Amino acid sequence: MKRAVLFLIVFGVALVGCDGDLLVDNTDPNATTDPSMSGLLSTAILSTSTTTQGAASVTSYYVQHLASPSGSATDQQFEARFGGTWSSVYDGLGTAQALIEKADEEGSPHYAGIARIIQAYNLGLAADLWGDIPYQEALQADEGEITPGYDSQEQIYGEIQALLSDARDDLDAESRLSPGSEDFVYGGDLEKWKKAAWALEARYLNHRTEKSDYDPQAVLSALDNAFDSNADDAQMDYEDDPSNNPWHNVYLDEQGGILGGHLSEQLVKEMDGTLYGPLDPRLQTAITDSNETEAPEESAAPAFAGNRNGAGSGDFYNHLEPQYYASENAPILWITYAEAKFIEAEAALRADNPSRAYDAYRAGIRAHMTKVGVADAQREDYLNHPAVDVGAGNLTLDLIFKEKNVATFLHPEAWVDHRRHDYDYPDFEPPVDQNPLFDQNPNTDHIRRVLYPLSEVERNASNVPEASLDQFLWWDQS
Amino acid sequence: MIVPSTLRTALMAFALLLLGAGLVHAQDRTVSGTVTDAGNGEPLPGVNVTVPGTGMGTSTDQSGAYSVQVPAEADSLTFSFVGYRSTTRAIGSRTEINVRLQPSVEQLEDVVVTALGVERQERSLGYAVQEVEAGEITEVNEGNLVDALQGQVAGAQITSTGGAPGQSARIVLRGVTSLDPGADNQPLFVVDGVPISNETFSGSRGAGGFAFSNGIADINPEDIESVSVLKGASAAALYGVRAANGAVVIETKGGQSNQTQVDYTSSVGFQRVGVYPPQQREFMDGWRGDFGFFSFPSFHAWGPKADTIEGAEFFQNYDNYFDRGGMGRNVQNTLAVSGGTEASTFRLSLKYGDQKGVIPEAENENFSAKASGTLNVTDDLRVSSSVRYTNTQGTKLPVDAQLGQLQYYPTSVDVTEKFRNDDGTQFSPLPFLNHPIFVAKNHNLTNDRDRFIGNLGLTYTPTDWITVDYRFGNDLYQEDRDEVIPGPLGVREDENAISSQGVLSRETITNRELTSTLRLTTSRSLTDALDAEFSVGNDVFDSDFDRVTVEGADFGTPRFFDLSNTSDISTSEGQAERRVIGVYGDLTLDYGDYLFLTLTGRNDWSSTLPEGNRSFFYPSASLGFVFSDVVDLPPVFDYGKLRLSASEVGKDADPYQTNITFGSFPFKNETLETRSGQLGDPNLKPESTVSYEVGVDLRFFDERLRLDATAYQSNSRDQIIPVPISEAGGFDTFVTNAGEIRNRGLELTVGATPIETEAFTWDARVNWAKNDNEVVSIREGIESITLSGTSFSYGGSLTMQLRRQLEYGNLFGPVYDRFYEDSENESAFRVDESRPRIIDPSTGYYRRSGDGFKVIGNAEPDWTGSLKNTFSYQGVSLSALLDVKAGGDLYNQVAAFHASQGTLPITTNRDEQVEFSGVYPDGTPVDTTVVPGQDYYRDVYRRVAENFVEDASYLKLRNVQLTYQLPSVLTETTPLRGGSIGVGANNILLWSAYDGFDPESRQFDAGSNTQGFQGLRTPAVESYTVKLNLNF
Repeated sequence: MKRAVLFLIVFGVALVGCDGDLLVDNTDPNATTDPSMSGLLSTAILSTSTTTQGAASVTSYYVQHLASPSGSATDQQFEARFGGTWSSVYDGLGTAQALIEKADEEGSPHYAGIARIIQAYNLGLAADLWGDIPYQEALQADEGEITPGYDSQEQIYGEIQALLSDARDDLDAESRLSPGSEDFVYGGDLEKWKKAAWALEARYLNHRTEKSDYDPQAVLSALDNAFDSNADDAQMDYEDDPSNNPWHNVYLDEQGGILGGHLSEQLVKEMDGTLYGPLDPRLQTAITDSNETEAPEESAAPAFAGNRNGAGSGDFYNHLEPQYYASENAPILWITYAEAKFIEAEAALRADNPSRAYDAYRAGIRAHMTKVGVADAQREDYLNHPAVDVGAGNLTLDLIFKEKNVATFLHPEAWVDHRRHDYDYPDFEPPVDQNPLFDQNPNTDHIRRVLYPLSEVERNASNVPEASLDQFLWWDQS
Repeated sequence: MIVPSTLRTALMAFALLLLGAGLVHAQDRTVSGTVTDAGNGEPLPGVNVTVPGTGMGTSTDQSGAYSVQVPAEADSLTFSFVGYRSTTRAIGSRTEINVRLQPSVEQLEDVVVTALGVERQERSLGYAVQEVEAGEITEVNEGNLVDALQGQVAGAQITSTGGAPGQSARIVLRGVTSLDPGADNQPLFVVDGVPISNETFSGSRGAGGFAFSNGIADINPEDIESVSVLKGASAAALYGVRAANGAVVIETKGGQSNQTQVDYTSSVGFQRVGVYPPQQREFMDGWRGDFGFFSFPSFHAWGPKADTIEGAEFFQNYDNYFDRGGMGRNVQNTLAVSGGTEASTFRLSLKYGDQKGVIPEAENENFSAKASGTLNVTDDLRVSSSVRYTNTQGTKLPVDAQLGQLQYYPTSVDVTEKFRNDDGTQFSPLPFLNHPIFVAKNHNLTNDRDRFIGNLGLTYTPTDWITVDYRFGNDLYQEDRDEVIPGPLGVREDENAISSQGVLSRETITNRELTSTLRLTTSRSLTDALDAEFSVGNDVFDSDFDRVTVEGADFGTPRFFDLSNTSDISTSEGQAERRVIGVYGDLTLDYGDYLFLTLTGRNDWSSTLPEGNRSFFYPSASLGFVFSDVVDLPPVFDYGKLRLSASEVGKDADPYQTNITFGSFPFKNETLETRSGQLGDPNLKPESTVSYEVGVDLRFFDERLRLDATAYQSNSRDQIIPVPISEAGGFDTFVTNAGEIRNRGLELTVGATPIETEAFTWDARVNWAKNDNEVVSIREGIESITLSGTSFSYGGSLTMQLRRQLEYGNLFGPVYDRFYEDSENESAFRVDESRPRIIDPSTGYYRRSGDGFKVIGNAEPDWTGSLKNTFSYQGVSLSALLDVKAGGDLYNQVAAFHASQGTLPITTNRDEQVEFSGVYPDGTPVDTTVVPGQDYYRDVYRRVAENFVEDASYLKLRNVQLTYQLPSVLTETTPLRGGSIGVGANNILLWSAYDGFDPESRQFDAGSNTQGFQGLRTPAVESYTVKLNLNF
């Protein structure tokens, strides 16, 4: 056939009957139109990890885990739009949607169940950045809906619970095919996915602490079905180069002169004993290396130092080192047993059950320290320090938030907590040269949400709501 | 060194053998002489010299000279030439016969090349065609034909992307017709009847960090005989979808019967950057007034005044832009041999050129060989063929590495002083800064492109009223691109390497285009006054593109750049195949040789459209009326013609835009399948451009004043655009029929010969054109379409956007915050300069607006024009081409950097009391006097794009050229038959309010429809060239 066509071209006698045979096929040979469920599942999982890290690479400045070496716009809270995160959230949601459709065709609800959990996670992450976002009308551009309307954050929270509930049903259903090694989170262990769904349910129910309908008992009963140990953590492990952890790239860039991943002075004060008494061993094991404090030659460097947010680098600083969080094959954490324990501590304390709260608080610290590789002796020293071992009667929300902040290092959830806790951490100051917007608002000195990406402002102008960085999201107001 | 592959050598040899067969005949005697114009004494090239009754003959060369072999029995020679009276002279015993030909009033019209290579009398055309002659192209000494057309064609907007060797140049006729950021809005290029690719294959890595050439630059200007620019859709209708933006039809030189000729052309040119942006020299490196550049971010020029620092005598501010620039050099040599017998002609040409850039590490070298020939097999069968092989090799630098890195280079350090440490590692005054010279010497891309363009043609004339023409052409292109980014040498602890691991990227691009055209023409006289010509034809176009990229990272041995020495290898491939089949018909009626009506129709089938929409038909009609033949006009009015045309042209899509696809890539031993961000439209329709054109051609005073004017309007509907859509819809872009754009314009060409004597001639030509466009509609639900742009500090961006009812080319960006009592009165797009700027009470100076980016400029010029004057005095000629662009804004990215770095001259008032006049946010008028400091410039000034989108109007001396024809003393006493020596200068005078480098440099390649961004590429250069031309 190919020769015959060539012959026709050469002699140019294709005068009549120009049907499909004479024209070449118009499908891209380098792409498929029929993807596999396993390819979609692994893509959705990687996308979700990328989204988590991408969001945290900005929110970590708002919670002053990190500080910019040059007093950047991010650090000073200007123009935060998270355009990349928006793309990757909807990319993840869309891939998961394609997987749900494919799973329906293939009679394999186990894939659909995981896809719905992934959707719930992405929706929650996005709603906690932007508040109102498109969902009901989203992901339907191929049906002609190119300017989707927005759903309120409260509606999105409803959708999250519905997705998680449907997901658990899917995971219990009969399925022709089930995932295996392409499930980068649990390797096909559906029981763990169900626990993760319960943990996420608890996370989003517990975001409602400022709402009048906040129900700590509902949070606690969700947690009863959630994780039992660190082994249940929802996380994605990276591998050595080239599939390495994105925080490791931040470290490599820093080594190559593209500065980044500098610790905030605030984080260092929170962990090195300045503010709370004990030196938190995780600063050394999980985050940085006291031997590597950057300092001018011949000066005595302190063990740990950070940059003041908004001011640029000072004389001394530490940055992310390839310890637990920024090693080459470190995981990106989605939701962990340790986080669940702190959720439990908070909900139990709010439900007037201080002894359950205290047990959960200590279990959370222990679990996280174990997870990041703190030696047993150091862990127990820390747990027995009077500032930590306060006794059930003296447990406060401040202490729970303080410990949860460390356990959610480099996670966007830390920023949700900072807002829920009204940035009420000791010595927590706005950045130097902060966006003057916050001077003018008597209700907040800190960033409360992010703006919609420019792509959305330009492409979906008729629907995109007004937003300002000092606006309180739905759960952030009573 | 260029070594063509054995296969190509064999092909070349074979072609030469074919064409060279039977060249030399034994002849009896030789007659030679010169043919001149009886009116002005100028030599006449191309005059046919025939020996009556024998079928033998030749034609005159560029200097009007001829030499013909004459059989013993012949007794006369006939001289004939279009536009002149033929004359026959007896030979007798003479060996030299010089002739002066009289112009013939009846045959003054030129013959022009129209679509499909059909030669027509210009008087018969109903649309505008502008011809550019060979001499006009070669005299400007531009290696890229597109650059050489600057200022030569009314309505052709040409944009050179910069001054590095082998950079691309863009040409658009009568405005853009496709709004798709990636659509080709450039005309179709046709060489010797066969379309060839003018594509600029941009780089695939990153943002396409290297500048590549456009395809037509592979054609040697010295091979060109004539260029005919078919500007409107009517003119190009017969070429089909690919000529929806007009066509540039190039005929190359051939041989002449019975005259073997050797032409040698050599030129040497020098280039340098002519214009540098202004920078302040008062303040030194530093931060908040403290001197120093040793730690981030204190390498900006926000330090103290130069004379106030301790040890001031040891420090100075260097002009690192100037010091980094050098002298470019360009050497081009062409050797051509041509000739023929009475039945055949041939021409062979070889070219070698080498250009080194103003950044000395950049180089572009090319070699080309071309052979062409014709053979009259019998009286009614003629065959022709040509083959062209071009090899181009270059070394390219990352496009913005030099200017980008120079921005950050401390001004108190001489950039040329040191770039490497003794151990071979990069030296840089700052630990994280790359040294521009080290980068240029180490991070580069070498490309090696082979291109093989060939065609064969056959013309069969069984009777005198039927002609069958067939042409087949191929354009094969293969390019290897190797990019090397070295990693660390690993010889010192604090090494500042360009890349932490090193990368080697090897890319191979192959592109094949085949074109087959068959055409049958009949002509008949229907009545005494009415002649008709009818043709039908078919053509097939097939293209196959493939790009394979293999990338390796992390070198084992630091300076061994081979994939085997990398540990982390990834590959990718992009293929695209497209086929278009067309059938057309063309009817021309000629009434009394003064009224001409042409009707055409064409149907195309394109593989890139969905099955139901892939066949589309479009017609055209045009009328030419030479009214001076039938209306009594004053005697000074020699000739007058009216042209009218209406046409429609269809246009298909790029391949693979009608569905949803998923790409795959490996990760953690699994294959991931990722949905493409592009949503294809299964109901895509072809685009359609409907245009109308009216024009006049008027000539006065024995044709010494000539005026040609054209007005046109075109509406391009159902634009196929990858519309950026809300990502919440699940896709980033939706390729659909989404809009309509209208172009309207005027083109004017005035030619005058104010003085014309035996010895002295003064010719003048003015081209002027204006094109206005408007985005008439955009698909419902889409507010705007962003073509492309650049990020602008602090998350803002400056982009070129399309909005309905606004012009094409608008640049949207952040502006100053201005006060409106009622926000209802604030236009969403337009900046109202009369509104007071808001003063931020906390700072005392202006502030930037929020989300509402507005139009702060338009990249399209208001009008373009050129004036060319040519003076000839005996053998000496002097020409000067002035080029004007009025309007057209350009984002001065260098200036935005300078504002941020504190090197922009305006920032010298940083420590002074400066008055700001405006209102507080509540509307209270206020005048403040504050010290702006670096904060105003860094936080506000540089973030407001209004400050850097500048009017890039210019007037420039595009070319001035002095040519001296070698005197007859030389040509008569040596084998030399003619020759010239010329000196020329390009781009040497520039008048522009634009405060930066030459406003002709562009951030994006020629293929991009995003204009208005200067970027950080190698700026346009001025050049000086000496050229020698010898004919034997």
